[in-house]
Amino acid sequence: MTEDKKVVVVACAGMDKPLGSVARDSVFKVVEELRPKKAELVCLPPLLAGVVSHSELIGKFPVITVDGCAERCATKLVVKSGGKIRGRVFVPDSVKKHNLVPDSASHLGSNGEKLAEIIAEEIASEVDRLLQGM
Amino acid sequence: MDGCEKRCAEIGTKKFSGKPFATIVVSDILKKCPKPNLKSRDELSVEEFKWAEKVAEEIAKKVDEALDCEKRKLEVTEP
Repeated sequence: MTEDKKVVVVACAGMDKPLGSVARDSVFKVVEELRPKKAELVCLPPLLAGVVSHSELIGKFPVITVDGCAERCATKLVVKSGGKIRGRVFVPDSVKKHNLVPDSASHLGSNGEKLAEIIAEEIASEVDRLLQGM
Repeated sequence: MDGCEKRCAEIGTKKFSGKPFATIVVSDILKKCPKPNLKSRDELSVEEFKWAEKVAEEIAKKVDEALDCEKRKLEVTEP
């Protein structure tokens, strides 16, 4: 994978929300295990703080956002920072679809872990699809 | 609570809320660690959990300091 072909993933930063933790856990799995050289993680707080290197990344590469609640902070901040969103995951929909509810924000439990794995697989497939089109 | 020297949490708080009472930068605390070998974002080793506990203790200290500070302010303003 060359430097000019990758997909950026941006996840919910809600520390107090179990579904935010699922969002983060799923993108960690993508960038560390499933697509380590194809997907790059961009944190939400640097976009809020205006860190240029992060804004440049989301402006340059296609972005997949993973939102943990209806506030959809990840999506909103990427749009505000000039990013090109090409894929979106809304974790509450995934909870309903798979009937898997995490225990808490700090301990996902087996259901939360399973949900994060399923979402991670979905994101990885989306990464592949986007890279094929580049 | 910032994870690195970019201090995004501090900057964001100053920008949208106010001056933080304190800022704890985890990477600064980890400089005291002899061999920080962080490999995963969500799978912490036993050693890394020990460092997380140290960070938690630092936070708890700052919580106490902030509460003491507020208490002193109230004592000064009360007639």
